[in-house]
Amino acid sequence: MKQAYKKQFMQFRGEWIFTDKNLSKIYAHDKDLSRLSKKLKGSKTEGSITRVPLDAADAYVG
Amino acid sequence: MLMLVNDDKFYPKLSFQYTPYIFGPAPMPLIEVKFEKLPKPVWSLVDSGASMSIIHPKVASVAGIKFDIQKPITGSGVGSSYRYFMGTPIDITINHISRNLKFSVIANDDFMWGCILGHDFFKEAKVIFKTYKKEFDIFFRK
Repeated sequence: MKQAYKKQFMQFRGEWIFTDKNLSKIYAHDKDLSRLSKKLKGSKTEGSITRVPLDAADAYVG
Repeated sequence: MLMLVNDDKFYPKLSFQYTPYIFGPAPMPLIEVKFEKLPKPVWSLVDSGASMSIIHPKVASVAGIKFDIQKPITGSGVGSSYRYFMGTPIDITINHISRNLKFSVIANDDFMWGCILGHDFFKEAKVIFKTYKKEFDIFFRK
């Protein structure tokens, strides 16, 4: 596993996560985006949704 | 002589900080894009190298974008080709400014991004990247 791939994301590879702006806290996660959306309905917590890639890499190069 | 001209074709600038991402230490030009049917915004890459705006098929489905899986189109990107479908236009909101945008729905459930804003988006807004300051500015067209 590459060091640049942050450790906290490793266990969520391929999942959708709801995080704070700095991607330092993962508030919720699910393999299914519809299910995650249902979990987050009505939540007041500020943050955004993103997907953890399946593969570890050193960097995103476009 | 330098003339400073007020450009009334654009709304005042919105400034954003580059954001840490899963890969590596280099922050990236990410922005929170809100879709009406999703309870939270989706981190989206502002990508000047993308000729189209691209969306993950799961995000497209939950957001309510319709696309015809019988009509795939082949595109090409860094290192490989990919298949995508043309999606129906959808309203997105960025910092309380809404726009109706057309996305290409990528035919790959393993696509790492929820959303990429490419040149479809740049028809709606001027974007200035200031990577040396880890900032970028967006000026929406009026």
